[in-house]
Amino acid sequence: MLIFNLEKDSKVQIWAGLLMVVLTMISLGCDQSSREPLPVIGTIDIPYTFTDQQNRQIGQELFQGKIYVADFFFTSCPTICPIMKSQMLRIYEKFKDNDQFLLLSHSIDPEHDTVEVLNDFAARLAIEADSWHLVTGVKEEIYDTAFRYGLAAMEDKNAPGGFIHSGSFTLVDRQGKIRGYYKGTEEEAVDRLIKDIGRLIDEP
Amino acid sequence: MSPDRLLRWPVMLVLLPALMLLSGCKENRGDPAVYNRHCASCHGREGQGLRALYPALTDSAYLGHRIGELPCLISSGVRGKIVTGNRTKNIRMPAFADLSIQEMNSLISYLQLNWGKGGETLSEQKISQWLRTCP
Ligand code: HEC
Repeated sequence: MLIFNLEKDSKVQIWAGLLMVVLTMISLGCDQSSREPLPVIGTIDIPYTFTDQQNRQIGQELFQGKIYVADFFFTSCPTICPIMKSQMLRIYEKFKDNDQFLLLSHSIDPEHDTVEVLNDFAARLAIEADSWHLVTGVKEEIYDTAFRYGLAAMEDKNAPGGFIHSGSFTLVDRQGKIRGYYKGTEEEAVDRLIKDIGRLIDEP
Repeated sequence: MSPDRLLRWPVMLVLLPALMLLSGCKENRGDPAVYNRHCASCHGREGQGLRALYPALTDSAYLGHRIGELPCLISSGVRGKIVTGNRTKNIRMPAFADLSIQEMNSLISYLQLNWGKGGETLSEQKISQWLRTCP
């Protein structure tokens, strides 16, 4: 190869060569990740019913045969929830017209976040209740549900807003299997989630 | 060609964009530290807000003729009432009562430099004066 022979015009070749190597690495990296199916991490089994912003009872049956993303938040959360919600909105805008896909956000402050409060919250975000359910219910059942989704949620008087909770999103497939966790506060993680939802939609 | 002449290439490639970035940033936009720590989660890094949930700050009267009320708004928070049916609930902005005058000055200067309508020159004295008028 000419690489070690530093003639006048060989530097162009060096740069071109480097560019080729980088491009090949990038394209190889992409190929691999999209060919393997997403791992199955666990199975969702929720024995509770919650109430959504339209005052409808929401149970696990609604999600049978649907791909969905679940998270935990509260409307008066001062720290990470607003970022989670703006990221969730990106997912919503992408898939709201796909009838195989749903979003499910649970309030971990159900005493404050009544149906009326959730309804107002949804109206301010201009989201449709049929594609994005915001739910409230019995506090202990919601905390147990968070655990079943592999996410943390608890009360803590010393935390800002009074609660600690995971900022992650859980991706669930049509068979009720957990297929991934994504940091709901990070744009790149949510980019990956949006790609992965597309892959689940393409799964038979 | 000698190896050190060859080295100039990558050096130039790094220097040029760096120079371009630096010259673009000459404008003083203030210190974003306090804003990014306490406010950006709701109002957005660019002050864009989030739909009707968190108002944008890019067109706020509090950065124009109501700037004198801004320190109080920040230190006491906002309790916007929402009435649904026969119930009233609060959608609110938390109070930032623990900010020091220095932090408050740096924050408000940042807001004003980026999204303000100009006019008022700020100082720590002025801000503590305004804070004394809080309801
Ligand atoms: C938890 C979310 C949240 C955080 C954090 C927050 N705000 Fe707000 N802010 C709001 C909400 C909600 C309103 C509107 C309240 C209403 O009118 O009901 C608001 C209103 C405002 C307004 C009035 C806007 C207008 O023109 O009506 C200003 C100015 C403002 N906030 C500045 C700040 C600053 C500065 C910080 C950081 C110190 C901050 N906010 C942090 C949620 C937040």
